[in-house]
This record gives sequence, structure tokens and C-alpha cells, in this order.
Amino acid sequence: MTAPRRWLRGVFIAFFLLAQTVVPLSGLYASHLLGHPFRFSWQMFSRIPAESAESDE
Amino acid sequence: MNNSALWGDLVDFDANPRLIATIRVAVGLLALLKGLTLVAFAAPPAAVMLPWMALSFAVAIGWHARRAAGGLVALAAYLLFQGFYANHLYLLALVLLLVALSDCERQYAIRPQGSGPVPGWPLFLMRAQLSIVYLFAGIAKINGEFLSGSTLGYHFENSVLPVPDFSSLLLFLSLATVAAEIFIGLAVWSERLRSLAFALVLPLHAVMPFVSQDPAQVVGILIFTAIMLVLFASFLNVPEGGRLVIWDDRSEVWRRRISLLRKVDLFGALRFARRSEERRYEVIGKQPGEAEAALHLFLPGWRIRAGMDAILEIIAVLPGGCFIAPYLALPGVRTFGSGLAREKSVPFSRVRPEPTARLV
Repeated sequence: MTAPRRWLRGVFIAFFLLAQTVVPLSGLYASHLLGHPFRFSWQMFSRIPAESAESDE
Repeated sequence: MNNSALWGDLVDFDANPRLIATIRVAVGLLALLKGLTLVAFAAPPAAVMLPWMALSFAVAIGWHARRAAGGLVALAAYLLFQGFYANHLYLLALVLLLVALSDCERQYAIRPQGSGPVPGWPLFLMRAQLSIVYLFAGIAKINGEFLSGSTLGYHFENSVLPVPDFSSLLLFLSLATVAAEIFIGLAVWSERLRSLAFALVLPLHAVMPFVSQDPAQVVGILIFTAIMLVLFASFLNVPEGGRLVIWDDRSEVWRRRISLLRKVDLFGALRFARRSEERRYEVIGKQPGEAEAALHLFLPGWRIRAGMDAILEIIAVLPGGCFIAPYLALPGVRTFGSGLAREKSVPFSRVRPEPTARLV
């Protein structure tokens, strides 16, 4: 693998892991504040849904 | 271990091309299934669903599969932000992205591209994704409402499926769910604990459909489970032919069993040799004492497993086998299996290897 491709791969791996950590963490914090699950955060069935809320499962 | 060695072990390794190709086929089929359920339950625009179905088929059969997977990621992103959000669709989009970036067309493809091992970093990201889903699902449930059992109680009461009376077990089930999800998310990274994590997967996912409130949700949870099971395969990266199975070719029963094994060994991890032809026993001088079983498995570093131990190691590298192998190792089941393993075998001590040149 050439150096630029290696570098590009490293950037993608870092971006993927960062996105998959920061987004769910933000969802967790928002969920803690507001009391309902958030999307893109893997919070399946973690709380009783609000009456009007649609399910995301 | 220094940083570059850790990076090499975790990310920069060779992957079995059959494993990645099997993951590609499975993900393509799941995308096809997701497309059918979208049409049945949500009716998105035909302009999206027709290309979705065609691209899913292309991923499954390995026809321009990487570009097709990339196209599916774009369509999935459109659906996610157009009112069709579902956790399993989001997960499917992420896995399709990793399939699109992997060298996934060397095997099981209409147009096979190249040969030999492939870069393993997409497998690392699949492992990380699996871990992230379980960890966040577990951590999100650490709240008073869930830990009191009332969340599961609500979902069971409103379930579309007939649910057994779990009312006295709600507290236990809630705590066990959180513990299992966090344990699986961490333990998959440990070689010693991984089989225990695998053992928890089927019981955990078997309960999930019972919290569904409508048929579409049941199907969604089943697709979610299937995607997670596919992600677990990323931990089964054994080199092609990396496990040598020597079997008793005097027995018709074992001939049939080995024929079946060859068919289900989709990852190509097993290599087979007949006992009458294989002289590795001579090389390591193990034959009389250890060869009473009909089956031997040679692992890297000349480690040998015999009989039921060999069967368990073989099952663990077959698709889906890692989830049942820990249960087959339980004392009662193991004894029963050992009996089957001995069935019709010819004790090796009666086999006289020919005094020919040794193979190394």
C-alpha cells in the first residue's frame, strides 16, 4: 500500500471511530437531559416511549 | 507491546477473502430483505426502491459489488432522512459502507477480482461497530426507569407477540440485559472471554422480538439481529485452510460427515486430509496415545485437538457455529457429543503408517 493510501485509510478509520463515538455520546447526554431516546445513538428500548412518539426500531 | 505492533495486530492484518465475501453476500441478502419489508410496511417511492433492490442483488451476487454497496449507502442515507429512520437501517448503511470499502469480490462473486489474502482493516471497523452498538445500547439503559424493570414491563405489555408472564422476572431481566450488552461489547476483544460473549448472544437476541409493538418492528428487530450476527463473523478471521482436519477415512459415517463439513465451511478455514494418507503424526510422534479418536484437528504451532475437542474447534470456525460451540462444550452435552465422535471410528493404534520418507 502506498503512503498516501495508508494515510487516507488512517484518516478514514479515525473519522469512522470518532463519529461512531461522539454521535452516540451526544445522544446519551441529550437523552439524559430530555428523557427520551435519540436517533443514531443505539438507544433501542432504553426508555418508555412518549405517547405520541413513533418507534425507531 | 509498542504502538505500531498494537496497530498491526488490531488494524493492519491479512483477512481471509472467503470471510469478507461471505459477509458481503449476507449483507446483500439482508439489504434485499430490508427492501422487501420497506415495500410491504412503509411504501417508499418506487424511484428509490427499484434501484435499492437491484443494487442489493448486485452486492449479493458480487457483480460490481463495491460500487453497488456504495450506491446503497447513498439510498439508505436518503431514506434515513426522509422519514424512514430505523436503527437497523442505520446499522445496515454503516455495514454497507464498510463492505464497499473492503476487498470483497475475490470469492463467491460473478466477477472474481484477484486472489490471496485481503486487507483486514474493514474487519477491524466491523468489530468496532459491533462493540459500539452493544456498549451504547447497554449504557443507555443505565437509567432508573429501565433498571426498575418498568421499561421492559411496558414493552412486554404492549407486545404484538404472545409474551410469557415475565412480571416476577422484570428486575432480573433488566439488570441481566444491561450486564450482557456491556459484557459482550467489551469481552469480544478478549480471546479468553470471547466464547462466553458468543454464548450470550442468542439468548439476548431471542428476547428482543418480544418487545415489539407491531409486525414491522418484529421484522426490523430480526433484521437487526441478523446484521449483528454477521458482524460477529468479523471475529472469525482464520486464514484459508488454516485448520487441518485429519479424519478416519475407513468409516462411511465420517466420510458423510466430512462431506457435509466441506459444504458448510463457507469461510474456507478447514483443510482436509485422510488419515490413511496423512503422515504428520509421524513427524510429531504422537500417534499411538492420542489417535484413538476418529478426528484430529491440527492448529497453527502443531497444537492438536482430538475427538470432541476437535469438533468444538471446527464448529467454532463455521458460520454461526461460534454461537453454539460454547453450549456444546457444557458437561452433559459434551459427553453425548464425545460418544458420537467415537462412533464407527477405527482406533489409530491399529493403523500402521508405511515406513516412507517423513513429510515436514
